[in-house]
Amino acid sequence: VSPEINDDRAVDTALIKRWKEGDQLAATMIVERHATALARFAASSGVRERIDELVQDTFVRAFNSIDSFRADSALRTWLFTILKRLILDRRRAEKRQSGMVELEEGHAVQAYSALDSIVADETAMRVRNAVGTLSPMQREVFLLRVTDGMAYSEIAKVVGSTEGACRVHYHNAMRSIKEMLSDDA
Amino acid sequence: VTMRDCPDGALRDLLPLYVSGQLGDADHARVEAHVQGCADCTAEIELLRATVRAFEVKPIDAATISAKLPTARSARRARPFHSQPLWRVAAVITFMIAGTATMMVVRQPSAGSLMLDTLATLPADGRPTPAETTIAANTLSGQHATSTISFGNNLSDLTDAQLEALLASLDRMDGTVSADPVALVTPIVPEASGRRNQ
Repeated sequence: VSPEINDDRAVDTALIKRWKEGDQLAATMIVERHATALARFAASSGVRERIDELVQDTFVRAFNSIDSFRADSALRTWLFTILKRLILDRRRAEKRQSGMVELEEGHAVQAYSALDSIVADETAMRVRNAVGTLSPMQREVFLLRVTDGMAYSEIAKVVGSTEGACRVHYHNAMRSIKEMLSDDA
Repeated sequence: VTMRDCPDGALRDLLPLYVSGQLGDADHARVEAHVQGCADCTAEIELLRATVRAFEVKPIDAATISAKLPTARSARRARPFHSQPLWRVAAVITFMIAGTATMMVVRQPSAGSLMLDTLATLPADGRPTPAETTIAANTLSGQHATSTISFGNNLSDLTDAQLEALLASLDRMDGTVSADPVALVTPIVPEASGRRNQ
């Protein structure tokens, strides 16, 4: 674990302690540190609507059960696992309501088009399409590693796999994306 | 154009952390030095940066979310009762007491073990006294038989007719457990002559 990651954990631990002591501003700082990463994770998982609502529910649930947070993983990892459960819950609810098919491989490409990207250059668009062809597991691992710089051990906790398997998923994903971009060129 | 992988796998593994600024000073400097002369890693870094751009999202309004968050005090109140530590300890202690009590009840002598105990105390010749046989027969019928059967020494001493009478007595028992055992119907005594199987 790099010193920066350790620092991150120490900052989160200190903020949680302050919040428990009654400092509500510490909760705001925690939200500022992690909200965008959670939104990105939701979007890359194929969520198209009400992403901010999902992020908010994640924080509400997290703060209501903060005592069950174990410091052996990063706070962000724990938040991702909560968000992931909420995404699944929402999908199940939507499926029940409208008989919607569950999001599967390939659907993610369309889902990303709902992203309000700030930069939509050509290379980024091609990368987005290439990522959309990955398996759901490869996609999650690849994006957690690249966009959040997460350690494999933390990614493994989010996706429910092992560190070694995540490493393999990452490199396979990278190989596939390179092949796709090479074919396009 | 084919994108190739740099042969230094360990260094390639650091590239995503380099792009997201997660590396320590030493690793950061190491990657910088390597990238200067490695076209493959330079191309991969550009790919990683494009990925980050491709998945950028609108910043989330932290203030709006924070306004909905519970205070530490209200979160404590909202916690479900079953998740509170004291309740968990009490549940474990109750479970252990209940388990111990169950074990003690189960280990008490049952009707079956009473019969086995009775048989274990048979005299050396293996023939029970009439009283012992009656106890064993009663035990076999669950100690609540609707009629009592007794006979002299043991089953091999009975004639066929006596055995049939015994079976008929057994048949009359409807198997219903009764709290009021009825008195002896017909004592069956083995005949002096005419042993079975002779």
